[in-house]
Amino acid sequence: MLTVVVVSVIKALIVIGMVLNLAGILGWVERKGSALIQDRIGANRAAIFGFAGAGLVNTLLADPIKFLTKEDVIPRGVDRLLHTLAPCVALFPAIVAFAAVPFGDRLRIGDMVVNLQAVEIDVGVLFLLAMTSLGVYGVVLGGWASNNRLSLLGGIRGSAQMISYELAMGLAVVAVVLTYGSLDFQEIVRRQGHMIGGWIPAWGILYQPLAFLLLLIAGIAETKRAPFDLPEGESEIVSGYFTEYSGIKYLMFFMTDFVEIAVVSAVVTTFFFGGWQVPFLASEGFVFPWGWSVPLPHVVVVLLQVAAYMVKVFIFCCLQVLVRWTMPRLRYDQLMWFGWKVMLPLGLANLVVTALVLLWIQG
Amino acid sequence: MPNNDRLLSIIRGRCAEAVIRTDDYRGDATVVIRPERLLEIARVLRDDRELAFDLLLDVTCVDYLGQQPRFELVYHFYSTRHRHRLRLKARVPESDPTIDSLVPLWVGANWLERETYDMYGICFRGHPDLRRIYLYEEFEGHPLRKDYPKEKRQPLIGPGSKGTYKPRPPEIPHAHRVEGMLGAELMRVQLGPSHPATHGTVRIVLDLDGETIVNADVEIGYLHRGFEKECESGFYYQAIPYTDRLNYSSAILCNVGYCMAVEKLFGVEVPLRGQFVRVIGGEISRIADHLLCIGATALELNAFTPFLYALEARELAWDLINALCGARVTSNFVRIGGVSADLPEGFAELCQQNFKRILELVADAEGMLLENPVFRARMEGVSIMSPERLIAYGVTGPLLRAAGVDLDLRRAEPYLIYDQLDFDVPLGSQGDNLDRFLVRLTELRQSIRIVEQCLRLIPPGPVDVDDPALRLPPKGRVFNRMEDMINQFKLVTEGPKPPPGEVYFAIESANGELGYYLVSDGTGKPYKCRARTPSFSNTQPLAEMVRGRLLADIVPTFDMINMIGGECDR
Repeated sequence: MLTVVVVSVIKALIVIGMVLNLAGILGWVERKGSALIQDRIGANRAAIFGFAGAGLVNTLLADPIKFLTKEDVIPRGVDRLLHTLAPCVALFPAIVAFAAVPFGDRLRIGDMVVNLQAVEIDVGVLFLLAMTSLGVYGVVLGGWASNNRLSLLGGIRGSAQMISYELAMGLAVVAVVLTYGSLDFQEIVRRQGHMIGGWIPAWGILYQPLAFLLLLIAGIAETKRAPFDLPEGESEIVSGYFTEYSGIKYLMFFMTDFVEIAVVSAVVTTFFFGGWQVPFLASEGFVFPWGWSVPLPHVVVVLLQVAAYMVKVFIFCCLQVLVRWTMPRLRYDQLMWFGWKVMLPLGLANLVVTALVLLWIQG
Repeated sequence: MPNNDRLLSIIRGRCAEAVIRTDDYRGDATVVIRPERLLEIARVLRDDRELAFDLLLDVTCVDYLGQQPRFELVYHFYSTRHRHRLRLKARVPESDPTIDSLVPLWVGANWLERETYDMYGICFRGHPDLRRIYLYEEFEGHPLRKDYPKEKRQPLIGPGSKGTYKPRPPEIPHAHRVEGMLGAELMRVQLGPSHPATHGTVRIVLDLDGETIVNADVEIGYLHRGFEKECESGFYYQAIPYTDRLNYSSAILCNVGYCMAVEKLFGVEVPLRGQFVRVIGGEISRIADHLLCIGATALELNAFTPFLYALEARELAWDLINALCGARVTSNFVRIGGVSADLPEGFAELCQQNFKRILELVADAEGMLLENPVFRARMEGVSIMSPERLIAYGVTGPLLRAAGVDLDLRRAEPYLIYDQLDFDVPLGSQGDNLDRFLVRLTELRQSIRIVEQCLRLIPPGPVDVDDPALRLPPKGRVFNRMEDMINQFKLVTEGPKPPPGEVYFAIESANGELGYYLVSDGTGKPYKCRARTPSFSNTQPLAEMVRGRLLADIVPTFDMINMIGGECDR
């Protein structure tokens, strides 16, 4: 019993550490990445002994310290409880959503089998949808509690947007669930392990390309980043729902964005890009279709899988950073039009076609 | 000009008994009328087919302290059809400084008359909303009157204030009292005065029904610093640095306009090379201005990357200005009767090199924006206003050309050497924000073309007029010859003295018609120095353009109007 608890705590710590550090790293990637795109140098003040690459480590430390030591301004007329609660309500579900996403296959240590997933729930997909839905409360509360009309507008925009795009996201997820016949992330990843014709990895993107696009777009909309950053649309409503926040609370909203990016990337990776699967890597080592094989010890195989998972997630994070720095912002009516009249019908059509094809194959 | 005679005789014929006298000084047709007949004459000016003065450019006043009647109201008109100008003047007494408002005829007279009321205390009969525009309601007196001391301070709050000021909730005069959707109350929101989208301090008070704008009121004046009062208290040449600060993103154009107005007052013309140098400096300024406008629009639609490309290109344009005059922003480049310096050595090569990179950057930014469906959707069909309405508001420049009106003063009344140059005037068709954007983008490339032509065609010779009454003699002569020493002394301490008279001169600045109206009483200081700035007139229709649209549409519209605070608030 004790070992189970210890293992669970270790896994939880690993996931939290992974998520929070990824968020920090993304903050740096965003600065340096945008600088690269925009022909600038970017953040270069945090170098250690003149080595700019060390800026990453430094930024990870310096950013939280800076925000922690800043004054926490609470304007007059603010609902203090809700004002404080909002950033926590925003950040918490985003981090927790990660718990259900597997970051590796089973790890065998002696007799013990550890499933590399913070929480083993067989309805992980539902859990994830539930948690991402909760994210909207942080936005609404932040906008409402701030006693600022521009914040309120941001909160309203945010809730309308997140609810609208959740539908398309849900439909895309349902199509995926139908395809794999499971609500368990680990199961979905395992189903993507074989090779089509021995050559092509059977990743979800091949079965559900449209669902991939829908999920990615809806996911970006859920993260409230360009081109869907209306809730904070800084040229219209200053900073939207977090206009009145400062210090560590501001950082929490800021981190929520980055954690959500990571969640979207993790979900996309898990559903459509084989999660922790490495092409041609079986449990005994690499087996190539042209007959070669490289036997590897079990630990190395698991480590490779974890690494592959992280690389994939990171690539999708970078993709989202790239999108954010190239796209202008949509207008409210355009956003709603796109959500309800493009994404939703496409999601429905995708679901119906998936269901019909499944019926045809099985029946 | 010969057609001025015809023009004046037509006006005399149409309303003989209302006209007191007409004159034609340095090509400016002027009609002095009886104040009580203003509305009637103005209607004739606007509606008569042969006159067709559809553009009310400027309303201002001159305070002739000690004369009776004391105040002279001055109106400047332009006809986009016949391309002629007219100045209309009417005197009102100090005891009853009242005249009819022109708002029923030109909606754009609204702000202009409010400004005149604010600065001179002239009351306009029938004006729908006669409030102060630059100064605050608690301000006592009218600062441009000659008996208002320049040094007088009236702080609203803080030391020296009366301490009676109480903040008021934001108001929208004449707001439509309508209910929102499902009978909801409207939400009153303020954008500005300090707001990320209002570069240049301006406040927009809005009534929102959800995201839709029901009422809007634009409040300017936060950057008012008494341009006219300052200019009137210094010599003619001392006003040049102030003109830099009108439109600080294209300072040389403001310099050129002012100096040419003063030269018109003197009746001198700059040598050919000087004219070329002015065109080169002015067009590089225009490039910088358009680059900023394009970049800022992209930025505020959250396309950060094209913004930085545009700013890098503007840096290169500023490098050229820096090479010309040693300053980047406030150039103070042009002088009365010439320019501060001839082109530096190797300037043509530097231009060639920088223009190449600017064009590359602009092409990149253009590709990122115009090929992006989101950007197009945000700009296309937004804030369309008919050309007639724009003209009624007194809008000029790229905004008006985007609506398809072919009015570019470089073409319509070529000044400097523009008639010798080959360039296109881009016109839009629909007049939406995308057209405005495209017009600026094309103009920018045309300006590069103009500068390249100038650098090819520029003749050798002096850049300054050879007139000791205007330009300082070279230092070598000052130190060696008595006459030149005296001349230098007199120029610096008394300033050049133009003959008495008044002129209006306008150039095509980056945002539209930038005109200066100067009144000389024969001394070294201008009796009246008025800048008719395009931003002021162009900002006025903003409220109407965004009414009924979504909150987010304010952003691109405001950007394409390109309000420059310094120019708008003077």
